[in-house]
Amino acid sequence: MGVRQPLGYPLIGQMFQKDYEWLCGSIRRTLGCHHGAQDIASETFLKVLSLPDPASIREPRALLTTIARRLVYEGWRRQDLERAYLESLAHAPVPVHPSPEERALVIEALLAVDRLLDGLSAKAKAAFLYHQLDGLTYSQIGERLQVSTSRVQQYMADAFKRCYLAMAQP
Amino acid sequence: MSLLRPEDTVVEEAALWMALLQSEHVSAQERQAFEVWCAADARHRQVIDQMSGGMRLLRNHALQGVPSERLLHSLKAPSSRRRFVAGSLGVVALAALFLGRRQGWLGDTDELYTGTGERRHFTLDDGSLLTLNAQSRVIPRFDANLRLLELQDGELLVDVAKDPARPFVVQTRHGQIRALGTQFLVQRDDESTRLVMLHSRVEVITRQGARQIVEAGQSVRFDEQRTFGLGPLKGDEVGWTQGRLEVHDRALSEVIDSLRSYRRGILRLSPDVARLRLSGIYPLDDTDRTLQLLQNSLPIRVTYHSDYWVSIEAR
Repeated sequence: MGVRQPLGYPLIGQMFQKDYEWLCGSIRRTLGCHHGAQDIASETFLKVLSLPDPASIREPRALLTTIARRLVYEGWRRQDLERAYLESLAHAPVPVHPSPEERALVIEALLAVDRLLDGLSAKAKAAFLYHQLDGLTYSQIGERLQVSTSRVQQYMADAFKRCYLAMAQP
Repeated sequence: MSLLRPEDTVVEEAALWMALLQSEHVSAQERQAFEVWCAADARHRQVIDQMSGGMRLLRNHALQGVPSERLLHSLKAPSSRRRFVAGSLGVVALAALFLGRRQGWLGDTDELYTGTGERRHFTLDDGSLLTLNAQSRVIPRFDANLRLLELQDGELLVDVAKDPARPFVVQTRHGQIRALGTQFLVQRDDESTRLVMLHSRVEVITRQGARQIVEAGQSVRFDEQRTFGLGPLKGDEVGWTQGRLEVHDRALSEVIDSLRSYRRGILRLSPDVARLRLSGIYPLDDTDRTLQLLQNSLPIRVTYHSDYWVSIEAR
């Protein structure tokens, strides 16, 4: 466990031959994602290769499906975030025009934050960002969100739990 | 979150510690207690380190200079995945986020407040007597036509001096209570405001304009829309002004919430026992004694991990 053996690569090779077409079909069918199916299938195999111990995989198709689904959802989410981000730029009181490169970096960072804070209430997310990015105190955050400071403290605790989980997941 | 494994009560504890330490109200003793907690078990430190690693995701260069309102607006984007699932069920649910108005209160230097475990009496400019419960905050705004108290947090009791020319108004985000001369108690939480009438009567006007007259001996709740729960006093409402916590058939969670304002550090209540009901009179200013009394009368166990970390579980 944890030691990457050369043996893993031939096994992955076999898995690739047998399962690549199957995975492309599965992505098209179950996720309704026609155009990018091959890209996603390829990226899925790359992810599998980077696992600590690919040789120990018992149910390759189940794993491939799980990873592929996650990649598809992530792609969708990236689009959602990008759309909302561009919308907020358009409505900014002072016009802002970040370069395409800057935009891409912000969207990648947003995706990471979105994953980190997923599952928290909107107010908990707001509390965490106000504190961590803007340096507001709990009372100031409570005032802005119209909740008590003890509620702010609870929001923060919820967010810290998410921070732990984010680092615990591969 | 069900993602937490059972052994990860450590994670829960670590998160509560982190939230306490980041608060502007943390005391030197609480910091010391945290150090003790860290030193008690190698895993404690390990979990804190991992948590700090997650926090560093926010230190991304790309995010610097992007206003947090813009980030929050983007994070609010409805998820295609959910749309995909919801669409197939024929249901579309959109959650709206109320981000709150930006209104700085920092400019208000006349703020009256109390800390943890503190009760204070104030005599206002007009001679009215104000008592603040622990962890409460009030901004008085008096002028020639109006005596206004904004209750920002917590609970107050006011004995209003008569002044027919200037109505006395207590305001929360949920609405206003208008009086001429009377005595009443106002308690604010996140969802609603509670009014307890001791003498005379007042009118409650919610933010949306609903009105209700409340007589002496009655209590009522209101939120921004409406008033509700109008009924007679239970008799335990004003005990705190004398340092007593009087409880008639209330849930343990409510009682512990009242104690939190009187106790530094972390008081953790297991959901298994949160709904136990109880009655009794407890000393607010000696929370250790109160916890002891609760343990004697309920099927609970109170564990002191340190003076600043107490957990309450089923026995």
